[in-house]
Amino acid sequence: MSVEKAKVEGRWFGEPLRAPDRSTKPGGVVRFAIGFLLGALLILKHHLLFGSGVLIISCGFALISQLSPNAGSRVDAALNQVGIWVGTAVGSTLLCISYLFFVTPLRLFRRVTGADDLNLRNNDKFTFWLQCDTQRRKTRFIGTMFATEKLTTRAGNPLIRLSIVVVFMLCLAEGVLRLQGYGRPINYIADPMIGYYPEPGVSLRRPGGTISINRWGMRSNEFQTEKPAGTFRVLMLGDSTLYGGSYLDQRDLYSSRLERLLNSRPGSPHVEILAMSANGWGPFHEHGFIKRFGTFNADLVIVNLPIDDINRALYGLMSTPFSAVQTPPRMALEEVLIHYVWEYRKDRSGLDAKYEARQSQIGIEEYRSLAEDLQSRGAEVMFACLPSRIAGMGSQPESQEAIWRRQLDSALATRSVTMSYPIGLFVGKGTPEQLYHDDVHLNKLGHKFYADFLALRIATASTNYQKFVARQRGVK
Amino acid sequence: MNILGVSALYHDSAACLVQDGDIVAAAQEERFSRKKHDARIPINAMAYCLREGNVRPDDLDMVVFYDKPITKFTRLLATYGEIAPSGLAVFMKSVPLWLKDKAWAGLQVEKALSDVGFKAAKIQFAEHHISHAASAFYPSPYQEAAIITMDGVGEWTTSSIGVGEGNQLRLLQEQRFPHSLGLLYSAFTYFTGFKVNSGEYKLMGLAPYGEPVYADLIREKLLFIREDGSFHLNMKYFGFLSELRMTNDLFADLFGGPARSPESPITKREMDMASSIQAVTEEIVVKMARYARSITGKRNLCLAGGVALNCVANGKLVRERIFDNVWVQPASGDAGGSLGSALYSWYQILGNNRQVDGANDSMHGAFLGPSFDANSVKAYLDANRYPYIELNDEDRNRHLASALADEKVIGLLQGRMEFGPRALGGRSILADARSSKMQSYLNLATKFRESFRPFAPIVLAEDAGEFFEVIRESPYMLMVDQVRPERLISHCTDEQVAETSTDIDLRERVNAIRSDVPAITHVDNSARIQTVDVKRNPKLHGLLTEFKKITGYGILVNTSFNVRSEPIVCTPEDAYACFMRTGIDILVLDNLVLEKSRQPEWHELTSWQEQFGLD
Repeated sequence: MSVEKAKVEGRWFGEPLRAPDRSTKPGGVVRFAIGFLLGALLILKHHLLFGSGVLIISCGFALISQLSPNAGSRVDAALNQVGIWVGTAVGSTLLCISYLFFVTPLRLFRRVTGADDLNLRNNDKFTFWLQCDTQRRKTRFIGTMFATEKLTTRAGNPLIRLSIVVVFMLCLAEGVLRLQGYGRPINYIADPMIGYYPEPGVSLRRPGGTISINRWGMRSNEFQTEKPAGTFRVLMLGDSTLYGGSYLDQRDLYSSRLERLLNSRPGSPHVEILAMSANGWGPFHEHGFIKRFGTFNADLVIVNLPIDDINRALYGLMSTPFSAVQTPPRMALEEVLIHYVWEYRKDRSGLDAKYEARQSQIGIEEYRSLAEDLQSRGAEVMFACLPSRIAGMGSQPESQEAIWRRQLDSALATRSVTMSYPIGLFVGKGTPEQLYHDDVHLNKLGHKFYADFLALRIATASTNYQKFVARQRGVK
Repeated sequence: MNILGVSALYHDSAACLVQDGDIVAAAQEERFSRKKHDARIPINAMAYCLREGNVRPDDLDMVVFYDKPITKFTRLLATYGEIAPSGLAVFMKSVPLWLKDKAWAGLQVEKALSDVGFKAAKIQFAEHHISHAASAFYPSPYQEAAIITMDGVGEWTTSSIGVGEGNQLRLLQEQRFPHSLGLLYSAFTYFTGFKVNSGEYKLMGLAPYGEPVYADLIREKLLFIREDGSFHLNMKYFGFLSELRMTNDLFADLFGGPARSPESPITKREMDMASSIQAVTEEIVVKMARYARSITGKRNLCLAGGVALNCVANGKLVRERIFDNVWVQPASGDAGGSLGSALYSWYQILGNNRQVDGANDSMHGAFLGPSFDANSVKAYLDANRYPYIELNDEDRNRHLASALADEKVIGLLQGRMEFGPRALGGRSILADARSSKMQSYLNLATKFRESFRPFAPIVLAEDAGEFFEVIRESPYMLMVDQVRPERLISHCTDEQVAETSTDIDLRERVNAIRSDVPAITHVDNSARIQTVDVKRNPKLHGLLTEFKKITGYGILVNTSFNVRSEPIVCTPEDAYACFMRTGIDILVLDNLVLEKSRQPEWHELTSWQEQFGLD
């Protein structure tokens, strides 16, 4: 456009500077493709009527757009208008709800707490002038959209501000942890014979899934005290490796998997697994439990241990190492704190070599005694020694692990006890991180493979199981 | 260094360019968009300022927005937190507007800059009343001064008292929302049937027709005023917190009936209400000034904010002699915030030196808008076959003075456009102040506006004392003074006209001859004065001098070059359209003179009433 023409039309400042609408609209083909995909997806998801409607409408609009651009624009305008109406209706509803159910209660709360941001209620002051903020703050915050004198004048002591922030953060953390299931852990009952065991009859959800403790304190299903006819009962005793930790769901434990595996075999008898375990348990706890409650007529008792459980001769026998039923944590943060304190103290409270040697001797002796007791109660005894991460993922255990293993073997040699210690069990089955949660505890995948191993072990090495199977087949 | 100040999104958006501390250009968006009080991002004004300053895309150093939108939004939310569940309708209306538009002021300014080819440096955000205070102090002639800002509301602040010293200013004390002098005045504007944020000056013009009979009622029921000028509104009577109106039913009960409908006849009640709120406003302003003097100890006062456009109160402030000198920012409304925020950055943030001489301000006479070179204008007139004659300054002044003496009305587009709401001779309609018919003629046949509205005089600065009592310098038409008694010819006019109750009576009072310059003498014998000096406005000074030679009067009527609801004209094309629509006899485009009688017939596709609506 020439300068002169611009002047004639009054364009004294060049082209008018209202930016054109730059929003781009998808073409008919693209819109059809979107509609088609959406319709197809709905039909595949069994929303036949709705999906067909979407398909028909999108085809119709695409056809109109292709046949007549004018009609296409009208359709666009109509859809746009519908969009505005729907958007306005939804937005207004949300605003209305937030005003009535959030802002209104907030107002009432503020009224109760005496807040008066607008100075509506104190009209008898000597002056209504308020002090302004310092120059420094005004200058400092010119670069932001947020700077406000009000914040400064109301914020007060930095210590109070810090306290408010800390309290807010703690509340936020408590809320998040509670949503995760923290704040209500499994508590423990102190017992003079066992030391401690999980609170019976509790079922709750934790970050990893469900934890259900039966009426005997076992992380197992409820069972009849009297063993039903035709049932092969296995009692598993162990520590946290058997218990599984709260990061695993009940169904993922190797004890649960083992039960399902044994019962799923064609022609196998009904097998019942009772898994009695607790974090921190050792031979004295397990033996204490047997002395207190017996074997529940178990046909087979599997004593589960990572080998260093032989050092837990006296652990937790004098007091409950975790939260007791009498003093449960009241807050999720308290539970987390207790856990980390326990972790810290555990790492700092290692035994010296001399004391550890004596501990292990006492522990091994107690395992021998446990085996003897179990056998005297008519149960077949199997020791399932879970290899540590190094032993499970490699071909050699650590030297100390090997020494302890030999000592345990020799202590049990005279007791006709079946012993398993599957070094290299997990080789080629996944990465250490997929299989082990830490140095000794297994992850979900590790539990799966270990259950497979134990199922095979029972089938091939348990005399009682083999006899029972044969008897059952004979009966049939 | 180039600093661009921007004010927008509420009313009267504007842009201002400051180059190395000098105010190079400033303009309101309404002048370009032709939409009165245009609040949109001032893309045209920004483009103009940058072009006027020859700023290249890489040379824009700083962009400053005149307030803090997010802080303002938090005030809005805090308000709902005080009034819920009432106020739902306001909440539903305002929150989407904020979320969609106003909260993103920075992004909008950035986008507008990119649309005109500039990439914005980091956008700064000055506080609303800091911008006002800066617009009052930095361009003023004073090295030290007290500062008072008063408007509706900024972020939280509604009025503030500050102090300026050299290149530094700081606010000392403030009043906060909702206790606002601006909103109080707007509440009465609304109740008397005028448009809020637009009709306040009409209310001020109506005040002299009434008596302040409601002043005590206002003081007793509506607000509690303290001796230091601070006050507390009794929100029981106001609707602006929780309703889509300024006042509520209790307010109406207090004043004996509902609010006046717009464009309905003005009754004695509206006149008395206008007079009453004006009296209360003046009382508050004077008390505030006394308090500001006492806490700052300064001898000069600078004023800004929308309330500072109340020139009657300003005149009273001068006459009270609380301060030795009073300087009012000519663009005191939100438009001036663009100028203030840019100057604040230059002086306060960047710490540059400020030189003042104690006498001259740095506003360049407020002529900060676009001008048009003669060749472009001639090309436009020739292309459209609009007949004109070209005269040199001397001949032009002689020709125009003679026409004015013959009661001709002149539309004058001369030099750069004014920044601010007042026409100061750049975009003005001029007429003979001695004419007894001129006020009615201009109101009804030229401006097409309410009959009661007064007109302001321009007077040679050196002759101000001949016509007015106290004011000797008022270059920006922001002071009201009384016409000298010896010029009044009928003191009993008011008594002759009985207590009025209709618009017809109002007109009778308007037409009454009060002085030898009746067209500019308001019913209370006051006038809103603009003094014209050679330095600020030599061409207009020349015209007044020539008129004085013929008539003996160095005084003329000066009103803005527009019709009702139209923004003041900007371009020669706007001026020509307004010239042809109205009773203006002669159009002057700098040295080009157009006679109405010689122009071709004027046709418009849409009427200006439809285009501009009613304000």
